[in-house]
Amino acid sequence: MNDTSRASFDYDVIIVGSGIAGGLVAAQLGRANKRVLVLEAGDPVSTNINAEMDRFYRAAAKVPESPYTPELFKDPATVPAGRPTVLSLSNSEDWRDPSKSYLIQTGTVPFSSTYERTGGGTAVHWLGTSLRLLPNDFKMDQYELSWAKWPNDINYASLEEWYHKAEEEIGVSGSKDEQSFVKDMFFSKDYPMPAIPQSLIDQFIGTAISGMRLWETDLKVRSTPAARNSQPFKQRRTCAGNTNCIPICPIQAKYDPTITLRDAQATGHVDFLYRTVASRICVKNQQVTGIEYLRYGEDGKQKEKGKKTAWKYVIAANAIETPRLLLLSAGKGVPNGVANSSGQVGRNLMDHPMYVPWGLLPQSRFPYRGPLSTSGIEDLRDGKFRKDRAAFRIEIGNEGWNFAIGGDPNVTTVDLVNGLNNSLVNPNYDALFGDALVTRLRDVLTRQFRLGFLVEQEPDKNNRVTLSEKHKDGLGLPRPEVYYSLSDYTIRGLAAAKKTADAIFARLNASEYTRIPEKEDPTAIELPPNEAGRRERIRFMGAGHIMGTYRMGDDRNTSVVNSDQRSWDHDNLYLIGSGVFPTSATANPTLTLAALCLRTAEKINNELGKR
Amino acid sequence: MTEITRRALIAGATATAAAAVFGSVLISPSSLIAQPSPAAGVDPDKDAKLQFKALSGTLTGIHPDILVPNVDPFGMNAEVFAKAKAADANTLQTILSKFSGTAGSPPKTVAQILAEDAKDESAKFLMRSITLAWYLGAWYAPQELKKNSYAAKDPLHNYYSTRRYSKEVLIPFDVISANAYTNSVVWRVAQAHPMGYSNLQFGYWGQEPPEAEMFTKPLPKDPPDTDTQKADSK
Repeated sequence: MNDTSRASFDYDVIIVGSGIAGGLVAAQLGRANKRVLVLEAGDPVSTNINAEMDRFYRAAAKVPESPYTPELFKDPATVPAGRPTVLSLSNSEDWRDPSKSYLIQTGTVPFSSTYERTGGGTAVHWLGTSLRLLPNDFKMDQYELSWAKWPNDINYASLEEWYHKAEEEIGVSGSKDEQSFVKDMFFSKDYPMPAIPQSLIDQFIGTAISGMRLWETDLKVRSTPAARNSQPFKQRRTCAGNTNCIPICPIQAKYDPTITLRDAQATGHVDFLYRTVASRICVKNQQVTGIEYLRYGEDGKQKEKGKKTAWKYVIAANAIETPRLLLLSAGKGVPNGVANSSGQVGRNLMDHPMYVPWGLLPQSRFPYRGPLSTSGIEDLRDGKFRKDRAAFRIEIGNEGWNFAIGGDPNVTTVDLVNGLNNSLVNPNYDALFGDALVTRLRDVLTRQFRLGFLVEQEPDKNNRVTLSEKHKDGLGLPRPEVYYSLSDYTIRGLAAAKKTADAIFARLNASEYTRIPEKEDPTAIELPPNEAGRRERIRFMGAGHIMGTYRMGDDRNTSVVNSDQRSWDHDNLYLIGSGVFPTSATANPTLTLAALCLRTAEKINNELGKR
Repeated sequence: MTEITRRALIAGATATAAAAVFGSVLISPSSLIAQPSPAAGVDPDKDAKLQFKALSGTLTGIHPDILVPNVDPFGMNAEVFAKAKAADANTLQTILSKFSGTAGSPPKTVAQILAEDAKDESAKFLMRSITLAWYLGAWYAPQELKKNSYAAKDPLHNYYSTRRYSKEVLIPFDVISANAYTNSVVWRVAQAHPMGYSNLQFGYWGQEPPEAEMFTKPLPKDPPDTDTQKADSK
């Protein structure tokens, strides 16, 4: 294709999705003077963060979506760009009710993670944790598992420079010494900023577990690398510990993708169309020839249909909306959907099923202070045990029982004022006021803590995103249907998490308050019998880490994209984001997807050439 | 690490309070504007609000001068008072008259008010609503608290209470305003700050917070500046 034909296109590159993946590629290409159009299904980035803060302050349920528009409490069939929300997923039976839940769920357990469709995407409310995958995470075949392989040229050594570039781009604070804890884990350069200080809770747990050994591994509390400023960085402030990374940092000391969108826009080469839902990828002779879209107004009503063309196309709409768009685009020459000759589009949906135990420490260690998490126990992310059961990392929370119980300090306060016991700290149903209330509440609140075990999920082809035949969104497009379940391998990982949690709680001399779910609770998991022959029941939660569904590989028959995130079927189409992950590992996916996106942006830019 | 003296903390807390004034105005001007403005400078509820301040101090266990500083840029007292009055003006008036005492009748304690209210319980649940409004910046209607208080002993309630955000157990409530959230006092009891609203500085979370009483009682008057005196005597 020569330059004459290239000039006949509307843009050099069209990107669907303005989240961290699409934003990073847009900014890189814009900096290289390439003409880019970004289509975003949701609202524009707010011009004033105070509007989002005000919405958050006034929200009764301060869930991840609370600061962001539109506020969704209506039938998803009427919403132009719907999304799953915490409230619709967590609320008893609502997860199977299409009039409440945007996702049509048909699995054995709920897919409990949510996403945003808004300028900046889901990482507007990410935690900021920026762990690299471990070298062995790319080589799971060594554990005799018949899992899909990462491409040969994607491994820790080949990605290391891209990890560092991603850490520079988004601004990560960390300690390479603390993170070099497994064989072959090397850091060619320091993190851009020093590590974030550890909280009092981190320090307490670190001291208490010193010398503790589990699963043939020594445990240690390590500061978590995070995209959070430990010093002024790229014209953004130092973290002031607002304890609100999720859902929104009021001072943007935590990186979020709106920062990259601003950078992209400042290049003068990147255009944005908001409230614009890509509805079809047009394909002719196995080349993508355009993106059709539907635009809607602030009132949610459709006002325009359109089509734009480019030389290359990038779909960055997350691991549920990207396969949805690929499947929506089925037609002549692509009967099973775009990029789907392998039949793998939509399959192998993964998350990090999360076990969250909570309790009271034996002394006040003052939660509700500092970033939501500043440390973790990473040593159990790899080991021989991966032959038999899933690995996990352990996150230490600084937000008391806020996340664990679903809304503290409200739950505990209402219990102690109104004589209830939803928190389990008030078994006598005391109703207190005055000094007695202060004393009791202080004793509980200042000792609260929680852990979070993020478990690697075995890829399973049956965990799958398809199109609903019956249910449509407000624009008349079929909604995503999700089948989700947890394999025995994954559940054995959850069982190991429970066992580890019990051992750590004992070591801390902590009192546990974790609720045991009722059998009928949709998020309840029956664990295999423990050493005493007893079957325990725990609740799992979603981690918000949506992965798989258009995985990368070296074989076009078993994967959707190659190691450049380029479609095997259409060589001017790229599918980027954590949907390309063949396996989930245990780190949150954002840093790895960012590294892969910067690598792909360079490939696209090289192909486009200089202009 | 620099030793943190009580004096430094007091100075820091004062600076924090000053910063909070401006922070609040900047973040939520609408909530301040929305307060009822007294007609022609006369607030018919002026005395009742003073009584309400004292009652609120007793109910919350937080010193009234923390809840309502002499120079009060937050207006939280007016907001909570307005909610209580709108919910049940008669009961509120009864509580305030008993608590403050009237001519010929000495003030009563909250315990005495509760004892006299045992049958109809309207004072009990309105006082709980007021307490929660200060603690959480949110309004839990008295009738909802009453309904849920008894439902809590129902086995079905316990069944549902294991689920997060369960509609079956969550008592409906509204955040009174952004201002009410950022000034709610539960965070003081936790020796912390409202999530999403901190005037503290980088790294504070790695150090012990100021002692508990500094969050719930007025600061003592400035001690004599001994450093300055020493410098002067040289």
